[in-house]
Amino acid sequence: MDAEANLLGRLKAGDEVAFAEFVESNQRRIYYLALRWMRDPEEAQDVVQRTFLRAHRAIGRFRGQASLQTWLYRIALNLCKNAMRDAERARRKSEGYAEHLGLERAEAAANTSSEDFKALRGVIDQLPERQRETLLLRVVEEVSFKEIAEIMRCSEGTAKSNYHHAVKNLRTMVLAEQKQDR
Amino acid sequence: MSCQTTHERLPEWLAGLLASSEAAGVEHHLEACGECRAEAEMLRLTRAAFSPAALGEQVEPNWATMLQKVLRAARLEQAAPSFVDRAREWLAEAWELPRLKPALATAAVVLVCVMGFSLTMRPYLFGPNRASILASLSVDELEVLSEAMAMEGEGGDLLEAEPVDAETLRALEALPADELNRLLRTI
Ligand SMILES: [Zn+2]
Repeated sequence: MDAEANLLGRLKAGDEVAFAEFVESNQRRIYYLALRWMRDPEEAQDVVQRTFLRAHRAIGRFRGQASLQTWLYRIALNLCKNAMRDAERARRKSEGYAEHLGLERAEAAANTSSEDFKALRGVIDQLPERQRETLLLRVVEEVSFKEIAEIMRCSEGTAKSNYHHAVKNLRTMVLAEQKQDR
Repeated sequence: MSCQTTHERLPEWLAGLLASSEAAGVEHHLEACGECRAEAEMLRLTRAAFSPAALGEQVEPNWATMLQKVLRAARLEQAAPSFVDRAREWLAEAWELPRLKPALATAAVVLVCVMGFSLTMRPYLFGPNRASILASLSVDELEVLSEAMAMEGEGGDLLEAEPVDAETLRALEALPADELNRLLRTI
């Protein structure tokens, strides 16, 4: 039996030690996924907590055709999207928030100004939702097309096409921004 | 290597996840192709723009504390199952009774959800007027509840239960009072 099937079996049996291992090995990835969406450490931690609680609640019904990690991603992503739909939170907090936390300093090392990053995030935010999700999952979360298809409930071909359009649109938008700046 | 292959492999290349022969293929192509080079640079910036530091995080969260919080909450929840869990149990029993039409079946999910919600929030709903009070819930209210239910079915096809759509909600709203009553009695 492979490690994942073993873990899943123990999780389904309600093994507390297994659940602790499961949280411990995944909380980091889920936290950073949530941080990228919520752009607020506190809200990201909240998403982590709720993601694992939901998984804990539903594990008995998990059929296991996707990996546990893919399933967690989907739960977390849905929670993030729901939270973002909230009118208050939809107003992205990234900007003011990042600045008063001393973003300038953090980014000086990377040799790109915080303004550039902010502008780029702003452009990415303008992409259609499915394209933006696919782009971030693929490029930032390093998730394969196959997994994206499972997370977003679409075919692998659709995931590839969404990614292709996201990159193409982003290129066009970035070029337009650059032209404007000159 | 073609532009198309490079395009598909760039994310793994940027993450340093490609085998060395594949990475060499990408790099060879990038040297010759300005378009792909520009794309690689744009994606590199995208990764950087969403790095924890760029998002304002200066210190990593305390993972041990986070773990403990999750475990504590899970233990608490196990001691007192959520209303949705209770609702689901009722539903499982009710399911076998009448052979509901699909639309009605989905409506029943919402109803059970409303019932569970009411159990916590509105004990008076279980008086003789429960059906009329239930029928008086606004579509918005039902939508919030059905969303809660849909979120519970998280992982959609990986688990079960489809989110309730607006059409079903309208159908539910249009249910006559005695039909609602009948459904409620089966629960
Ligand atoms: Zn090329």
